[in-house]
Amino acid sequence: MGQETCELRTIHLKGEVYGLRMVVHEQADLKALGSDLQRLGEEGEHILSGAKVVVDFQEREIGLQEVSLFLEYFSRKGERGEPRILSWISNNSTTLGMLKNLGFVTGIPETGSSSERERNRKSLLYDHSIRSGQRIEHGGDVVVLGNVHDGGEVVSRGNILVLGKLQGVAHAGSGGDVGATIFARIFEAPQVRIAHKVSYVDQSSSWWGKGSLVMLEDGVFVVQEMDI
Amino acid sequence: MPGRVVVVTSGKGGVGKTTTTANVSASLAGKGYKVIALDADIGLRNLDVVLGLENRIVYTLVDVIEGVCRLPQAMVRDKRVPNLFFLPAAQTRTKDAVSSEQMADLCKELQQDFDFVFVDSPAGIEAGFRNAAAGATEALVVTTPEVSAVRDADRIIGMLESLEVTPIRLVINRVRPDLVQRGDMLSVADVLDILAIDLVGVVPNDDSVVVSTNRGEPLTLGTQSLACKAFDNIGLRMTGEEVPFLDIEHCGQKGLVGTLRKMFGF
Repeated sequence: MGQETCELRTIHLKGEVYGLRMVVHEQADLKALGSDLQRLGEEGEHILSGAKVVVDFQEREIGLQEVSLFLEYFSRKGERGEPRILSWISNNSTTLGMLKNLGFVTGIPETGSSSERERNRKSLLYDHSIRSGQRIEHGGDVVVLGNVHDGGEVVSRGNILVLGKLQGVAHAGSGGDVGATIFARIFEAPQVRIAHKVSYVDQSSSWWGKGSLVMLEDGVFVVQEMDI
Repeated sequence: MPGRVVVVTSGKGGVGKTTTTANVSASLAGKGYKVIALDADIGLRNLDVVLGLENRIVYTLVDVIEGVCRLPQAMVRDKRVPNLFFLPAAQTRTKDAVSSEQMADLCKELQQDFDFVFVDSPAGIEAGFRNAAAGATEALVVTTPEVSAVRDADRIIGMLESLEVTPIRLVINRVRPDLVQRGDMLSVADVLDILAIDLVGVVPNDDSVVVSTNRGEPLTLGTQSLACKAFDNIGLRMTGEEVPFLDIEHCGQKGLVGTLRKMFGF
């Protein structure tokens, strides 16, 4: 679907709905990455000026050094038309883990009308517990200050953050957003749903009853223990 | 000052709503408060039997609402406790014989004459429950330490909150210390952890409750048992008194500690 616009030894650019995808060749020697980025800055300024860029590392395992080259390149470009990185894509779990640990946005950016994005950005702050039989559904992120009891349901098109116990059903990214996450300060939910995927949670898991962040990575549920 | 209208409810059936209504009503009446117990379980009435007043029913709550009789004519006065009254449900009718508005009006009327109006709610979350809760100013939620009953109680608490019936207080009925100690039954702490509402009483599983129910003599009218003490304490706590909770979960404890507990009466 992308249209090729420029070719270098290590990277090439593709036009996408969200902006530009900067793909790092899987087989290329990364020693040339620095010089390629510099060349791109000089020759491709007209393309990159003001562009929204997604950096795609494909299957390759990338180190901090390469990431910092990109960061350096984009920070230097700041004064000339401000291209900015929307997100980072990697099909390699080690690289993806590193990118997430750095706090970067990962995955293909969501596209949609600006009004839809605006609506989705609005968060719902719910300052009660959700008891059995109660259900809240919201287009944006949902923050529950109380508990979600067994039999209660929270459905959100965005992320779900539960500051109490999560014992009921939480469905994040209900519109199909695989990048949505669920966090609970005390995670005791027997089932979680993100986008169109469902996972059954084993009570003997080490993170059961603890602070946990649940997300999807390559279609697989990943849980990260997180105490706050 | 108008009296307090307390709906006694649970969601699940058979957890002890009627027993709690009868015993707490009798306990408060015995302490000098003017109390009426109202059976809102139309078509499946039981409160009359538990209170031992089934032979004295002439008119019912539905008769009052339909204008067949006046309110005082339908009230049954308990001869054992001068301040205890009872308003029976109709057994030959169904829950749709009354509306929420009619029940709310009836409660408002009773509030003028009584310190406490206890409404014994039917099980379930449908019209019968909503009618019972319609005129209530506060609620007693009864549960047993079983997962199913606790989940239903959670559901009912959510509904009471949306009906703006507050405060909502919890009664945990039929606690079996032996099972709790073995880890085979939810403890009081477990139930409170799940439901997160104020506890007003813990009632142990006690044979005397079954006997008193069958005889139609509320425990709080005389019998001395742990359950009787527990119901009495619920009454006291409802009047605002600070009463320590009985250590029911350890009362079956053997050995020196258990013996000492028994010697000193907890």
